[in-house]
Amino acid sequence: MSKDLFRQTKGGLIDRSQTISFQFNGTTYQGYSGDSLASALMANGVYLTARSFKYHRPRGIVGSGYEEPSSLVELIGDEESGNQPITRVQIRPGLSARSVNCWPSPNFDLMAMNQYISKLIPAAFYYKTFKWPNWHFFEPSIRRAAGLASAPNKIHHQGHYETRNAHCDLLIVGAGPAGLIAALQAARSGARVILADDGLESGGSLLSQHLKIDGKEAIEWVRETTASLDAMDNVTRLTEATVWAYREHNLLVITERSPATPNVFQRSWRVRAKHVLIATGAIERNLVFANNDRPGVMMASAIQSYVNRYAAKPGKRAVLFANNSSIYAVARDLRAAGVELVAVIDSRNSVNDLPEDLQDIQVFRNFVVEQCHGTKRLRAITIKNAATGETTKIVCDLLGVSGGWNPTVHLFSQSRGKVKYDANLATFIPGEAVQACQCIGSASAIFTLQKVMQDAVQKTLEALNLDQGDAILLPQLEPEAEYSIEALWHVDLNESLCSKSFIDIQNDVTLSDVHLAMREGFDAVEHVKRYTTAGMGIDQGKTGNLNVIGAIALKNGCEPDEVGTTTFRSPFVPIEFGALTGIREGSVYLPYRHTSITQWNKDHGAKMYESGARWRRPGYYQRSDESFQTTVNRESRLVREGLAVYDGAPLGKFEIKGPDALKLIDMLYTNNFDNLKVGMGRYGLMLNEDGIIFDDGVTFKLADNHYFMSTSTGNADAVNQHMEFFLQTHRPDWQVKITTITTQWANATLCGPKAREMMHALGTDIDLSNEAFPFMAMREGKVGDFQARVCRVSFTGELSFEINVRSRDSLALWETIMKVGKPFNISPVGSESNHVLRVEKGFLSLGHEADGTTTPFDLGLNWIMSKTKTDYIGKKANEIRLAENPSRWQLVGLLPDDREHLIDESAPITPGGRRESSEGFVTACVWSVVHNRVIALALLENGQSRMDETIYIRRKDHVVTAKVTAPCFYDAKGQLLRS
Amino acid sequence: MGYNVKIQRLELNAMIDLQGDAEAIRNWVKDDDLPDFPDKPNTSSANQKFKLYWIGIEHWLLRSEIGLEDRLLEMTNPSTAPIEISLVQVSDAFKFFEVIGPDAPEIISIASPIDHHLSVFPENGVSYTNIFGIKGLLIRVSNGFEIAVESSYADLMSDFLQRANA
Repeated sequence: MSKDLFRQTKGGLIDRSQTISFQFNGTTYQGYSGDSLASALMANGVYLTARSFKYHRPRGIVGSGYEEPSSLVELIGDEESGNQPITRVQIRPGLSARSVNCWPSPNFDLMAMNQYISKLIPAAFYYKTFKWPNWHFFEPSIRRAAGLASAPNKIHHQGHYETRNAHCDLLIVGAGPAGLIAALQAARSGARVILADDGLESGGSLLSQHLKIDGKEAIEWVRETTASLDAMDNVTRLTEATVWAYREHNLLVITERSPATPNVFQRSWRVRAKHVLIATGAIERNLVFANNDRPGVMMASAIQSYVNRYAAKPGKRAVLFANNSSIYAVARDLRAAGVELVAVIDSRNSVNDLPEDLQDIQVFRNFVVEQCHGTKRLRAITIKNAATGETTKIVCDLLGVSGGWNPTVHLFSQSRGKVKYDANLATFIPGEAVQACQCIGSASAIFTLQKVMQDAVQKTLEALNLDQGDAILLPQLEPEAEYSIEALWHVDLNESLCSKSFIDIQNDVTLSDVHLAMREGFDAVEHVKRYTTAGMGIDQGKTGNLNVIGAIALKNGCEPDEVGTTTFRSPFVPIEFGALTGIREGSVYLPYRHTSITQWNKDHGAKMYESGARWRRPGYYQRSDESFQTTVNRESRLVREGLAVYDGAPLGKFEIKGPDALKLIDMLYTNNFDNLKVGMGRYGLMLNEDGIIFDDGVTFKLADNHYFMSTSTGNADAVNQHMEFFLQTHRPDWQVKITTITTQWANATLCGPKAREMMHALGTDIDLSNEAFPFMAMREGKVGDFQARVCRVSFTGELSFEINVRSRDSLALWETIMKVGKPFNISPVGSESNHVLRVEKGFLSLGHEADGTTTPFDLGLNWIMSKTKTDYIGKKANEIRLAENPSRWQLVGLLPDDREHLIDESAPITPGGRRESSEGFVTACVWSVVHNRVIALALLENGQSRMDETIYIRRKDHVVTAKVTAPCFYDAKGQLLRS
Repeated sequence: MGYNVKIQRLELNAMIDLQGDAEAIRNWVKDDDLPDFPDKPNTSSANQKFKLYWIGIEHWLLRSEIGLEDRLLEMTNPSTAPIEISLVQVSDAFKFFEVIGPDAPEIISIASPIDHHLSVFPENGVSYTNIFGIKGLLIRVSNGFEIAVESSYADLMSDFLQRANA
């Protein structure tokens, strides 16, 4: 087939000097720069471009933009991606694409046999069948048969995705005539403007129509306007950029498909706009009649776009079928392009708006298209006189249809603006806005260019609070006929085995499917949608949704506004996941925090992982000949018997100062701090308002009303918020200042019986004797060459010195410790051995025993609950709880009868090990190096009164018995840590 | 490199966190080297040696080169400051990055939702904001920006900035 038959010799916005070769379904074709894949294939005479989703019927190109419901393609190679509307793919050298929903090709598709069993697979058939033995048994086959392209499993393209933020006075969505004139108006007033358009270039409908503006071709005006905008610093003009989500507080999301920045593959913008003008135009509706999906049946506006913008000829003998006046501009352009226009089928009876210059074309008024003929290509149509029923057959290979125009209200609706039905226009139009936005131009149901521009300028003035005197001069425009329409929701049903009236072409939903749903009681529009899948999928019912509403209305004998609409969801067009995540992948997928010795730890074989609040900490330092367990045992023994050091830098730290600092500390913690001496610290429990343990830590007194507070690592930020919340909302009169110093101070904690010797070896001017420097004291002085705050606290139960230094000194201190500690066989230990050691001691751990449900009483910490303080956070809640004397899960120790095997944390404890409601669970289980056996901690119902009882821990395939003990397995009197 | 910027991690800076009534702080730090307090929140003032950032209600950061840290401590004397004001050395708590060049705003747009347009975030603008999901201080400097984050996030920030300009 000669391709010249399908391309005009001149005109269009393509560059005939640049020929581009591309591949489609394995065949090489040529197109021109500026062609979309759809227009290039059309110009090559390719009409069969896809198969349908369910019945695998032959399909061609229907639309010309993002509304394309029929032909999806899969891109192969560098830009591998699936399910792209063929109309949105720009041809470029090396482009390779293939059809989806067919195998081996659209021309010969084995699954086309589905057409012959279509009676057996109506809408929702899979809800009623495939129940036995299990839906999932059939699911893979059905999904395979459905056949849309799968997501690529690796990235082939160059560059990365990017997300960014932007702010503006005015975001204009759509750069058609309304968007452009609005942008010009706004920009000249000095406002910060972002103008985003889905198309390859600005212009919108002006690119597809032959219109004159200021006496010149419209495209000239478009280019002059965009040049003016591009010259202004206060304007950001984006092309190939779809605004696809409208969120709260005027936050909108744009994805730019081909940003100019090197190495950036796609870019998403999160725009916070003071005001939004939605200039998204309108989408033409399909018409519903038998076989309205045959290749060669297209949206009339798409035909106009192909002949005008791309200089293609979609067919040789054309018929147009419409219920509105917009069809006559298409008729004019088709004739100008040299396509034979056989007839216009105008379903309207009462209106005659045939333009003067088209009086010679044959118009069948009050007729409808009853059905199309042909299988892989439209061959003819049968038309019917709506009044008499008389039918006529017309031979044609192109049928342009127009069911009227729907303002593109998707974003407006996403903004929570209401839409309302306009019977005169037979469509839903924007109603009251909820956010600072307005629809302009066709998106507000204005369909003549003059009024579109007037509307756009007026609403821009309003949005920016400008005076009428600030209005720019509107361009001179030619007079246009007013838009008129008579609703036609569908032609009378005329379906047979291979003759179907599609209401949603993408999802193969027919008119009879909608009727079936309603017969089965699913007659609300949302139910019809879910029963039939109409309006779902990639095109989200852009060309078909209103016809579904109209069909329901007709069947129910009501108006479409009584039926209502379905939800307009984001994204407006398919968006790649990468465009949402941007650069947040790989090593930055999750945030991480490092201490000054992280690299040292990595260099020395530490297994690093997160241990709360995004800190990556050493879990354990495994040697080449060790298993995980032998490593943890070695490190634990080292602390119990010799000397170890761990990096305690991540502990939360705050300096708290002010005349009311003591009041705050006393309000936060359950115990008294008013008798704490300067230089001493006290362990404290912080509760939430419900009396549940929120955090624990040690607070040292630096001076009167001046404290150094440490918190758990994971809760440091939460504690900070907790304190600020209390001060700002409950006691704004208290004078307290809180400074976060978590990373100002790093610490290396020496622990083990030899810790004091090690301190001496390091050299210090601090008196280390137990009398001068007792447990829970803090002393300032020199340790080695470093100015330090040394604290005697212990998480391991052993003698410990926590050496706090400025973070900048941390690595040098650490290396000094390693060097000086060699004679002591010092070694670093990780969080795993710390866990073992604290379980042996029965110290609580947030997330284990303090799991968001436990009170201090549950953990046996009654001693820390002040009876003399009048108030502290959580006091009243615990008093109420205690007064009710409830049955509570309480902390106990467990000695499993199986001494060898560890039990998973959270393993349930049930009565007799039976499958009953649990009476507790294991919070921690470790191999004790002290007892050389497995030990555990658990929360057990009324556990404190069940000492020596045998309890039963359910595992997947067996039950473990254990003896209940006190929750401390080592140095119950705490003599070692005080030594 | 996608953008025309120079990104680098800066050396340690000397920093003091100042909280309390401005007059009380001024009365305590009786030193001509203390810059005037900025007249608007989220802006800075500076002299030859020191910069003063207004970062919150009764909350400032005083910054200098690390070489002037002793001078800064001598001037502010945190350990003996009266109870009404809080002066805390936080030099080690921050790590600074510099994003300099014609495309610096592009990088900041990727990093942060803050509106950094000159009409909103002026020449002496300084503000805490979300920077790659982390609390960070954004400071406008000549021909670009500085970013300060809690020092534990420095490697992550460096990672992010490299990716943003890949």
